[in-house]
Amino acid sequence: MADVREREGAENDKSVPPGRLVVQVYDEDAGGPPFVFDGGPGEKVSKIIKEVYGKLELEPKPDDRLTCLATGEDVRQYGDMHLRDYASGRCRDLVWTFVRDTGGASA
Amino acid sequence: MPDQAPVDPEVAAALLRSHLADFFRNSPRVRDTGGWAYEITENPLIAIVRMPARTPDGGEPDIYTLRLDGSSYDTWPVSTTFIESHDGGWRRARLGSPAFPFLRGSPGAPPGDGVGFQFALHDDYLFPNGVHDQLICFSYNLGYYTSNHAPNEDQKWRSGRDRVDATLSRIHTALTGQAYLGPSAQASVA
Repeated sequence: MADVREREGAENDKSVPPGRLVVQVYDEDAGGPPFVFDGGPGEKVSKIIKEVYGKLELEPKPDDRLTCLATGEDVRQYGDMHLRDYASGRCRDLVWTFVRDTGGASA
Repeated sequence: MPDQAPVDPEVAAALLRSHLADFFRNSPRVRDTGGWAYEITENPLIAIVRMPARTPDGGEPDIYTLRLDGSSYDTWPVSTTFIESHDGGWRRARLGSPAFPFLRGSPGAPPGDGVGFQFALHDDYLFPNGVHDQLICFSYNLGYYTSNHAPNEDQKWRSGRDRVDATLSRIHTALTGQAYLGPSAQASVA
């Protein structure tokens, strides 16, 4: 099961058990330090995503953007991947950003 | 703009200062990219932010300057405008200037896929009060509301929860994506 730790001081928390992968998620609407999650290498990405929404106290919406910061790719499309495979091929540093839908003029 | 209740200017200024400092302390965008800076002006409701853009050729990033007006913050988002220096002060940047970015899909720029979400940069927009001004059209900029655009519930600014991060991160996403074509002065010549 993915473990979630609080935001304050989470970046400096050294208590992640060996072998687990750390995901940092920045809520770019509300700001502040990241939420930090850790999961086993065989954990599904979808499990972490579910934990993210729980922590944000939001229901997933189709136009939310949960993205890998380094690549800009949507995280949710990789929900079926194991965290180890996702981290090795799709989003190496596991830093994600979250924003809700945006209204505006369509191009 | 619906329900434009007056905002206590001292509260608005304090929130703007505090939230901007938090953004610059916490945002991974600031941590990962050089060129970011901000200052609060003599008017504590006005901030100037320098923001780096994508570097299409791998060289030094283009740096844009934004004026944030927090007069209605955080009941409403900041009012955000691309600006350029002029006679020791600032003025609104115009299409064709190096201070005005070219974003594919925005008026005056080449057509095509936009920034990946609803967002457009207008050089000269006629507001309902008859004023012509620049409009960065997205629901985390005050101008979106004063120009009578209507977001759905999922897009609407959440007073007391959303912060200036929501505004700056989306503009930065626009300036670092494939829709960014460079400063409009160069891109329009190319």
